[in-house]
Amino acid sequence: MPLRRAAGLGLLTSLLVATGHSAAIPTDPFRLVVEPEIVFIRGIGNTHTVLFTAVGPDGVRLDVSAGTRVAIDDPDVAGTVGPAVFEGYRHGFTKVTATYGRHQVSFPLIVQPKRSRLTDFTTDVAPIFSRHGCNGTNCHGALNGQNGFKLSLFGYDVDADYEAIVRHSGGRRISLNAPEESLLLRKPTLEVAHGGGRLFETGGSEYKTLLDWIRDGAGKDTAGTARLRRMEVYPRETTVLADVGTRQQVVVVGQFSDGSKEGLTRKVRYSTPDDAILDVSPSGVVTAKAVGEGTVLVRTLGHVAALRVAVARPVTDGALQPAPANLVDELVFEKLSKLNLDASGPATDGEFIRRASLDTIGVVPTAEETKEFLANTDADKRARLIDRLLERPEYAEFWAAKWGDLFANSVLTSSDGTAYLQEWLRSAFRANTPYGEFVKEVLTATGSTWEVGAVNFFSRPIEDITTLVAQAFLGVSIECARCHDHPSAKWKREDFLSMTAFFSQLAAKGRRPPPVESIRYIEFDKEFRHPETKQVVRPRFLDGSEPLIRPLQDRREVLAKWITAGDNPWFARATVNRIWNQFMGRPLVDPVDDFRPSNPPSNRRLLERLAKDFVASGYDLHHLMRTILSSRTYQLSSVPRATSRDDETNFSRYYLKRLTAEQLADSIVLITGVPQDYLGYYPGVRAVNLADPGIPSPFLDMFDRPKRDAAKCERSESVSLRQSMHMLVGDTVNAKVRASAESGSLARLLERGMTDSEIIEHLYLASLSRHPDAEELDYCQTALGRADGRSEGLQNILWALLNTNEFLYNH
Amino acid sequence: MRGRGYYGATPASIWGRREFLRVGTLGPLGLSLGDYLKLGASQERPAADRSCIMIVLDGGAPQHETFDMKPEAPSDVAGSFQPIPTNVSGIQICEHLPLTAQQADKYAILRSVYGDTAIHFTGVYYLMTGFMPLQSVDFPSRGSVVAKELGARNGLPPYVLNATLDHAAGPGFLGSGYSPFWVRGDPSSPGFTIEDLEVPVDMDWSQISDRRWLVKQLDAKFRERDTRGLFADRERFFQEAEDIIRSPTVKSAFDIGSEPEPLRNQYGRTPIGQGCLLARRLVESGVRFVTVNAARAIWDTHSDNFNRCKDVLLPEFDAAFATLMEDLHQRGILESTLVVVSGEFGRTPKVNPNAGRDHWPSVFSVVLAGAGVQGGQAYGSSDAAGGEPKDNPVSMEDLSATIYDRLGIDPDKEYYTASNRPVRLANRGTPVRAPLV
Repeated sequence: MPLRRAAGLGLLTSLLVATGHSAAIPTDPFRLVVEPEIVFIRGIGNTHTVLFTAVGPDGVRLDVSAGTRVAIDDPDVAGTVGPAVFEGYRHGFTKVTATYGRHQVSFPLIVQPKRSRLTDFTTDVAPIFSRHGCNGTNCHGALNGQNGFKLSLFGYDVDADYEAIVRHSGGRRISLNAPEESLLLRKPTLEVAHGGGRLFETGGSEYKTLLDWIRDGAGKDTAGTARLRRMEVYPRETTVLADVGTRQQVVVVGQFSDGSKEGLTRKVRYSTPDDAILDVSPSGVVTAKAVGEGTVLVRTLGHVAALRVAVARPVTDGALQPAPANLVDELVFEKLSKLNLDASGPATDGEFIRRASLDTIGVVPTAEETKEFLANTDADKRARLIDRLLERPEYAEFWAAKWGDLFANSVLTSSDGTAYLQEWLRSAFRANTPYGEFVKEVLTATGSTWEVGAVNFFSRPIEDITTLVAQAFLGVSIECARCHDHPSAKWKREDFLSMTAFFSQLAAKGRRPPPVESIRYIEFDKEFRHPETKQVVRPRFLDGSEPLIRPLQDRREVLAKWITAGDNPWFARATVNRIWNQFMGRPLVDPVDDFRPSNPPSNRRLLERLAKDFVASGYDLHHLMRTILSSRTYQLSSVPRATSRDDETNFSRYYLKRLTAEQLADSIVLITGVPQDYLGYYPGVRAVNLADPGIPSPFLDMFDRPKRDAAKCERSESVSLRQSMHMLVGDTVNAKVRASAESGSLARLLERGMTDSEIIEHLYLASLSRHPDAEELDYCQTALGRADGRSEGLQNILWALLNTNEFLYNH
Repeated sequence: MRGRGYYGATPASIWGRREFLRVGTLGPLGLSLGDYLKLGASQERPAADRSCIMIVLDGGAPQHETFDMKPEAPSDVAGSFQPIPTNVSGIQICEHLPLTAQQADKYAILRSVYGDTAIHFTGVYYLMTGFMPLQSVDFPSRGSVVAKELGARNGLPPYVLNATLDHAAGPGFLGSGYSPFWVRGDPSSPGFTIEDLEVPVDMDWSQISDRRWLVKQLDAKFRERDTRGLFADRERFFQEAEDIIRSPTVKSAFDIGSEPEPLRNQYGRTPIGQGCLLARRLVESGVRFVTVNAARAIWDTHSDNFNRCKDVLLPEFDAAFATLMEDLHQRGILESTLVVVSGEFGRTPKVNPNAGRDHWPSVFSVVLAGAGVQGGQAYGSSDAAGGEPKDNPVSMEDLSATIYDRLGIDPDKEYYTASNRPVRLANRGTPVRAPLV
């Protein structure tokens, strides 16, 4: 083993190129960049933060806002109130010049009048509650509010919040006669007791806004006032902070419905779910706490935006990566370099054939296949293996089963057309049907559940179809919006219902009971009605656009066309993310079916490039899989480097994956040569071909076979006491090992008159896809010596191999 | 957070001194001797020697046909059953729970519990974890929390699940170390055994030891690839598995066949009856938390509610629950055992055209007994139709806090998820105390 590793390192060294950066500050010459490029201040006395960044030629960024000097051409228009924070003095225009070291950048600054003479509830007042977290889950945004005062969660319902503040509790929160006496001011300033503590100072800018609003009469909104449409958050790309303690200012600019812009940096709320890695202050300063990567969320009034921030491992010598083999490697290694993480060495041939086989066809390679592959000296043998695997019959079976999970294909949730849907999926994967067509065929299927396999996709309640389509094909979770507006994503209940309207024409009739065959057909004038108002709901896409639908047209065709169009914002990305996850063990957007603005990808450019490439290939799944499989990234060893042990998001090594229930069951059958029977199935069926999760098998269940009671394609990888008990004394592996010696593969090896070490060699190749080393052979010989007879000894060795972590994990 | 198995917290005393010393050599596998001593010490928590039996009326039992009758309401609300007196004056329950009525001095009825979801899947999750499901956090079920907080006793797994509630009964972010010990079989079926508890006839322990020794040797070099402590978990589970299979205590704890026939019959030869009997045996032997249900969604009576309640659901529950009360009481373990009876929600006040009742989370009844709960009372009330809480509403979070409180666990204790998000055990619920306890 030491020898083997030395050889591996030799190969690696020839591929290594130093790509890392070395110091915290970007190497000069760098550019000084200001974001945003034009500064709009709304109203005298308002402030706007900008961001000064030094960007080196290698793309490394450093926030230099604190050390940048600014000169304002017309000091009557604006001045500074902090590093890179400007305050408007009078309406007008001026040029600002910023200097950092010998670098300079100039930009325009414009002070504009406020939108309205009066303080506006939606634009000016309501954001204050979001900013201070008053409407969070553990304060007044809780289900039942807090101490009788309830705000909508994260402020998604401004109308309700207005009512709560102005009218509820007899209007006692607002005093129009003595505005300063209003509870709304006295509570957050702690003039009276407040469980939430002091949120702002009496006389501060937020205090003044609230006071002005109450003085103006505490009105709702001024007609025609522009509304916030979206937030721009700077910096835009994943920011890499060079070291623990490094800071980064976040700048937020709002775009309003009248086209105007306004700085919101001090008006929004910042938070991070990754608070072990990042800290973010109320004014938007992110500080690195530990090496790693996290998300910073920016919220105001039901709007949410996010940025990714990574904290690099500080080094002086730069990180080492192999030379990129394709676009995957370019983008993965680029990020590793920025973070100063070393990629692991290359996987051995044995590791590669085992890994690629398990990931592509769902079963370990046979001893013979492995032996031949190890002996093969062709330079392109890995590429050829990939091509062969994609054409194997097990490929279609394996991926059909994955899509069976995704479509929640089970007798309980769909129908007894389960097996027909499974067979349809197998044929689609076998033919490598372009994925756009694949999805179109599913979405527009009609006919008998026993004849048209794909039609079983629709054997579920109409709202479940909506949830499934959004999740499976678009990677978005809109299930919450089935019942109510989504509080933290942009989905409204209306979005859910409008999407459901695409399936309104579906009709069904039964034919031969029982078991029930059903015929799905289209009734063109059938409408979907709002569950409460009973109004007809018009179909509308999730991006908000409304399609033109001709009379006598199947609405699902229109939906399918929109989903599979090359410019659909989700379809290609979601598919790429799903396939990537299957091979790499971690999705780029995590969880895999949860695309939303507040959940950014770990490597945005990689996701974009792969998606673009997937569209350009005509949605060729083989092409996408080949791109991933032939990357150096996929072919990295799973042995971590010291620098990247903690890396769980950037693919610096191949992440261990516990074999799935079916991979495990089918591999054990293959290795022992003892088939497993499953109730109601032909003898010798492989577990991957069971169409329904209800087919009894405690073994498959304890290794996390999903129930398929909801669309899910991520499985848990549990390790449990139950599994250990079963392995020790249960009747799966014990029985198979015994039967193997009686009539299975072990019996055949014994019949061929092979020596002990030849048999051990074979068992190693069959289970771990490699040769044993001398030490391991020794241990096996010792075990043979201890056992009660040769057969028992070999059974013990086979049992032991099947119980190693090396077997249980794809590595 | 992940990986510290509950079973790893087995007190040294059950292993004896020789085994205990051996722990010192396990160091590289994850637990140092120091860790071990610490784990041992946490066993001594004073108020913690308690257990819980959770009986889930899966599908959502109708409050109107069980513990919160509304005889004064119009007939399409009241339903067709009559209330009967119990052995506590002033408390009445359904006529089809005559045995349970005679035990009313031992339990309290909470008539003002309310939830927030009318979906089974979500409701069961809410009931079992105390949290509504979230995309971002996989919450641990209460049994897993109890396993973590109270640890193992007498070498038995602390959390046993004899219920078809798998999606809501797992360890969540606590990791597989706190998974339930799952009893899959129906304890009322004649061939009921606990799987994988016996060494096959053609094998013996020396062969098993040889096999385990060899696995350890062959896996040595692979260990460097584990960055998350997974292999240490697995190694420990093998040891625990061996301890369990070897333990006569464990075998005996699961052996309901050794109970006297009359008692078995009194519990009822039904899944819920024998499940309750098994639960009693288990807590008596040292298990901390046992979850029992009859069958998936069996209480989901959208149609024919009254016949199903009268013929099957109520009589089976009545025998099981009443016998459990009496049995725990006679053995003197009711004071240390909390019994919780709850569905994931209640059922609609109004009877539907199919003589059924539909899902209704706004108010329903929960029964609590033991562990300091004062029996013979009804806490809280619902309105005239049994549709909304009237007095002393109890949220699911409050119920959760009450359960933890009775088990000697601080409901406000915070856990942290992998991403360091704080999670309070009872999600800010307030435990119900006086006059309940």
